[in-house]
Amino acid sequence: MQAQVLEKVWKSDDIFSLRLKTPSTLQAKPGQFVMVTLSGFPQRAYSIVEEKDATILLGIKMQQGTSKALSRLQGGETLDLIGPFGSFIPREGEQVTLVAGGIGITPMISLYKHYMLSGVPVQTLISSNDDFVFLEYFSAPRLFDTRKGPRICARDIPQDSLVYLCGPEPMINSLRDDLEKRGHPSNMIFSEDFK
Amino acid sequence: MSYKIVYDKNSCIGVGQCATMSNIWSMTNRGKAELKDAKEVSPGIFELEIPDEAYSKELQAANSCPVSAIKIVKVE
Repeated sequence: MQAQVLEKVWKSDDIFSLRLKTPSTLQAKPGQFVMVTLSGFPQRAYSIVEEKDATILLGIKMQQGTSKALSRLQGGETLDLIGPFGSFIPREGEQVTLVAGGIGITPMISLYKHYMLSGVPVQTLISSNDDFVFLEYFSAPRLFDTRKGPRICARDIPQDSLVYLCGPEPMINSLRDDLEKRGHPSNMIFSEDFK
Repeated sequence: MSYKIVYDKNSCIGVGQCATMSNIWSMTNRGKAELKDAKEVSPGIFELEIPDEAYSKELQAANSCPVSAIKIVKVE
């Protein structure tokens, strides 16, 4: 499907959001993503931050290639989208802990909203070695600025909680390993790594 | 002649289309697809021979992967 760029908003020096108009509502589940193609650049996956009235908001970290090209868009351009995809979606649980590293915060926004609206207790742990972005979507997140303080560790996460991990692969693998060593059931840990 | 599926788990981004098209694929809670009964031939690379009659279905599943993490190759 084709989607039109409606608006780009810089959230920090290298992270921006793009609001896209889609032909119809995608009915994405919280935590899902779309594959975006911009002519001449490799296809890339971006999490859907929110979906509203046949528009979606994507959160993107500017790196090389596609994301850099997307950062130059001004509005009015057309992109090719496929999706939504992904299995990093809500499961039933009595309490939920969302753990995000850097741009890994993007799928957590819709998951957080889902659990808040469902009345499920949810806490959010966010780590970054740069600016914190998209905090306006969360109520009282715990922030871990790894430039001057400790990283998120397994003991920050309640043992009877569903855990969603998203961020750089080493952070995800290390936290998952530590959680499992502490006896956290592996079937209660869901992860998605961002390369 | 038979065929085998070659799956590069390192490239998988968890789209999950394969698992909707064939029951030898499933999604793990690590955001990656898993190929049932496959052998890991090198780190992150899995292979599974399939019977001829499964070829068409598995080719569709492979082609549904937008990051081309799944290939079907001939086994001579």
